[in-house]
Amino acid sequence: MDFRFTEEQDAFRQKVRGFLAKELPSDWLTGGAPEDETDEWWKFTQRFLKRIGEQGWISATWPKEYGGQERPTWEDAILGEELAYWRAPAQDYWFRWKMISALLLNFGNDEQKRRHLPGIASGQVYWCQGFSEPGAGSDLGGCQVKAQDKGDYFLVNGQKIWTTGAHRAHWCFAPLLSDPDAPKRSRMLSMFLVDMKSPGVTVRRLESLEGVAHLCETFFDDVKVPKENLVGERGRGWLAAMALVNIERSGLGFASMPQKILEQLVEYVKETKVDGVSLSQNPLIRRKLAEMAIEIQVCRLLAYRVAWVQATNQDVTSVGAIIKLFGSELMQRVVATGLEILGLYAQLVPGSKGAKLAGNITRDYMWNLSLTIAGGTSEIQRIIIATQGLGLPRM
Amino acid sequence: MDFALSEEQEMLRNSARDFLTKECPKTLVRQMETDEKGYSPAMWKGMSDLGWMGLVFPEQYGGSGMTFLDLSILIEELGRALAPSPFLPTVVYCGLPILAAGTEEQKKQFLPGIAKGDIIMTLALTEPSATWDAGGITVKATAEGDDFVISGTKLFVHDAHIANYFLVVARTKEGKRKEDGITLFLVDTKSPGIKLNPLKTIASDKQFEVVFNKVKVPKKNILGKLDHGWSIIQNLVPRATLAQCAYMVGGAQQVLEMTVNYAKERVQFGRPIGSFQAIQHKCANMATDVDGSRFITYQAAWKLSEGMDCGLEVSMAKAWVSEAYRRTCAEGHQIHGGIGFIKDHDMQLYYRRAKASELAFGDADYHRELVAQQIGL
Repeated sequence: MDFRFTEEQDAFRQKVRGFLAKELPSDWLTGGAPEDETDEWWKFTQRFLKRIGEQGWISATWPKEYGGQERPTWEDAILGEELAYWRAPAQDYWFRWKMISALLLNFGNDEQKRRHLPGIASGQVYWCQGFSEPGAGSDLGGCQVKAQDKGDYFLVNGQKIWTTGAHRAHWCFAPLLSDPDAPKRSRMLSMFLVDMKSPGVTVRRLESLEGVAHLCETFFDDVKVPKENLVGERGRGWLAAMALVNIERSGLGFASMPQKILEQLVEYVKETKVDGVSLSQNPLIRRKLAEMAIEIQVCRLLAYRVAWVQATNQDVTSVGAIIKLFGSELMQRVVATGLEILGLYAQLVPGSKGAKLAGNITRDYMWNLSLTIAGGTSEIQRIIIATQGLGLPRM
Repeated sequence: MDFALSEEQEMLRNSARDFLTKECPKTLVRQMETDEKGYSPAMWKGMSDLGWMGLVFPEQYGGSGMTFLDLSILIEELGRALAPSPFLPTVVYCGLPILAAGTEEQKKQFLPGIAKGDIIMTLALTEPSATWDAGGITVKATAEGDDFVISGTKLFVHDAHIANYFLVVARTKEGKRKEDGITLFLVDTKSPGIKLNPLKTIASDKQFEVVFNKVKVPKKNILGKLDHGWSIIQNLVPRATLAQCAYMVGGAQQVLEMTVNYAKERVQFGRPIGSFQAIQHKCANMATDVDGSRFITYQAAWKLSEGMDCGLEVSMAKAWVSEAYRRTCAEGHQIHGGIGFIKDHDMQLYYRRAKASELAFGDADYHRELVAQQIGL
């Protein structure tokens, strides 16, 4: 047992911090960040993602023959932890790069790797994830978007939903129904790469309650997907999708994002006086923040455990579900508690006169509803832990 | 970062589990609840033969020089088996302070005896005020020639009836700070003037009110420095607290396993109840609590073993594990239904002991305040 990072890992973290200090404006966390999805935001985000690519960080863990440096997966984990702590823009893009590159490296053929990996590594080719459908959310095996074999190509028809970032994406990776007559449901889907510029692809942006429209629906209307865009074995798309959601669920950011909020709240209650008494002397607030610190510590260890499991090539399914479950619910508790502490000011959103802590926690309160839903709901995580981790019988 | 046990730790854990499975069945645990001694001398002997009591003592005192983290792994197994023994009071609450603060003579007098299983000791710290703070120490010790004379009442003293020695925390001087003027004494339990009044406890463990009525203790039995004993307690508290955490982790793990096994076997509506999502979700919550408890405990114990500052981590661990163990037991009971709270069932043994461990060395509220102080509030 050893709960230390190595000197090399610490040095890497410092490098990432140095990079972020340079790339993000000094008031990034205190009101300087542009509103999500505005032109100003996208311009900044594009440049930022490109800069991440230039550091070689997107491809760092890949094999050398595909442009990687074969760095240990821990560095990837540390990078994710720091990106979340500093609220770097468009972390979902970075996560999708992790997923698509894992898909290509594990299941793709040589040609697919050579064609797609360089663009991903550069941080300039954007991907969206075409998993959910209106009728297939938690039950991903029930995907109905058809991919009919037409000889040279597959003809794709149907609708995907929650294709976040599809309006800016160049490509989409999606499990599609290629073999509806297969004897088992798990053999009906195949994984495809779909060029978003293909004729017949339409994207409709969905605006969520915080006023940001980056969740999307994507419609496929007689879209021709060339045969060479089938990834891995035909009929094994469900398997590939399951391998990818494990990546989606195992981030160190689950602990570092709330850690930053805790640190901001501690400063806030020390500086804020009510009736001449510092909020930090209020026993109820002390209890709330202490509990928050403890839960974050538990979360951090559960996250580090996942990173260790990944680094040692053990099965990540159940422990990944544990961190996804605990981390997403923790973030919601942290934000709810933060707003309790802000009192009347809790209703002020970013940009408002008088907003405390730049209104960021109020914005978090609105978008973090998605945390316990996206990437597999809390209920699904609990079932995975129970059946795959504890061996309880399936329904 | 490495979350795996070392080979040596694996061996320790496996041998502990084997021994306790054989020597400490639940029939023994139940029997000891009503036994006058409250522990089995045969099992105690077996534990010392395996070298457990001397695990963390240096070789020159009959020990094997292992780390506190190693000890935590052993204690986890004791908690899993609910092993009724004076292990924590003897080894952790008294042995470690003697090792840390004793004179060479005191170490030679006590540690090899503890390691061999010949000496049982217990800590007489808390009083009727029931606080863990130095301000709670009112039992007085007054100098008289070559002796000190101790008078006053200690409460919640574990295994006092079988102990050969008490480690008594007494006030020898009124200082400016409540931490000043406290002295630790190694007191022979056969000294005249000691009266034991048994308490009846939720865990059916053996705890006592110990009344000292002008009990004479030779000056050479002071542990550490006169009037400066509280620092020894401050050094002990993180160790004792983590020992409780490790004990709870073991218990919680066992409750989880018992419950999952029950959910696989118990059939209702024509299928095992573990196939119902309502039950699966509870089991998943338990697993999350148990994993979190284990890592937050291990991390603190590892830091302590490495000689790093760990005050914050210890308090975080005790606050979290105390409540997580209680939650785990409660969910386990809910899944077991009526049978779980019948005395013949093992679940209730854990439920009652979880409460006792939660209280020992500070409950969650107590430690949350310590956490608040250490995160800058």
